[in-house]
Amino acid sequence: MPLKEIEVDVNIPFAADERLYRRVSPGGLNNAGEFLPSALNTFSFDKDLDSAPSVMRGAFCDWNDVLAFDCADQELVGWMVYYVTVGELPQSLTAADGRVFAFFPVHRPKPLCGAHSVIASYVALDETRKYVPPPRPVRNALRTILATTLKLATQP
Amino acid sequence: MPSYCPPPEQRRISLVDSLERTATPGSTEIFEREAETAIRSRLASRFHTSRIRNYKLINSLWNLLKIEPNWNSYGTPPPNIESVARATRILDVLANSGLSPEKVSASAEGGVAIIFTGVNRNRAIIESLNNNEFFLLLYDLEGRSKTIELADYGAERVIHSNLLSHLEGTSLAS
Repeated sequence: MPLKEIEVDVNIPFAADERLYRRVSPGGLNNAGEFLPSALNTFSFDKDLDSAPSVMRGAFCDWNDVLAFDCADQELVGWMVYYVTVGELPQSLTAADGRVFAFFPVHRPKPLCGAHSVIASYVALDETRKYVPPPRPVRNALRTILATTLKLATQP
Repeated sequence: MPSYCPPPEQRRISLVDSLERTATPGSTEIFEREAETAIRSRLASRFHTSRIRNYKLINSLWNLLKIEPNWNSYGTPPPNIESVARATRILDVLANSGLSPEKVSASAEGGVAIIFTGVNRNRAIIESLNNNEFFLLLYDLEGRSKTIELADYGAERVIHSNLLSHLEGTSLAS
C-alpha cells in the first residue's frame, strides 16, 4: 500500500543511490525489450513543475507501489516498473545556443501517493534553480539517456 | 464491262478447334510448377512483403486514434488526426525506399512514434506530435542521441539520407 502525502517528509534529501521508479506498458518497449525514449514524456516541461516527468522516489515506496491504483489512477495489468538511481541522472546537457541544462529530482507528493516526484530542469549556474523548459534536442537527449539507463525493477 | 473477282478463300475458324484440349499431362505439370514458382516468388518478394507490412503498420497507426486519454497513466492525451496523417505520409515514403520500421506506437509526448532497430546498437524513432513537432531521433544504446527537426516539406529526403546510414551502423560519435 503506497504511503500517503501525510506520511512522508519532503525535507529528506535524495540520496545518490536512491531509486526513481517509472511504470511502463509493454507498448513502451521495442521487440528486443528495450525501453523506448518515446515512452518518456517531457511535454509537461512546457507547463509547470508539478507536471514535469513523473517518477516515484524509492525512499518512500517499493516498486510494486508504482502500479498501485492510488498512484496510477487506474488498474494496470501486464505493466512493468523500471528504475534509475538519482546519481545516474545526467549531470548536464548543452543546448545548441550554449545554455547548459541540469536536472534534479523534486519530491512533490500527491494526497494518496506520497512518493510522487518529478525530474525538474534548470539552467546550470543559476543559483535560484528557476525552472526552465529545455529545447527539443535537450529533451530528447534526456529521454534517450533515461531510456537506455532504466533497469527493470519488477520481479519475473 | 464489270467483271467479278471472287475474294480469296479464307480458312474458316472452327469453334470446335478452339475448344480442343491441347494440354497433355506433361504440359499441365509444367504449368502448375511454373505457377507455383511465380506465387512463391511473389510472396517472397521484398517489395510485396514490404507493401503488406506497410499496410499493416498504417492500419495500426490509425487504430492509435482510438486509445483513451491518460493511456500511459502519466496524463498523455491520445494522438490527434494530424499527427497520424503526417506519420502515414512518412510510412508511404519509407515503403518505397526499403526502410522498414519495427512498429508504430503512441508517443508519451502526445502523438505517434515510428520505431526502427538498426544494426549493432543503433536505434531511431520518428515522432509526429499533436503539437506539430515533427522530428527524427537517432540514438544508440550507449545513450548518445541526435535530434533532426523536420518540416512537412522535404522531410522524406532528410529522413532517408540520415536514417539509412544510421541504421546501417554509422556511429553517432563519428
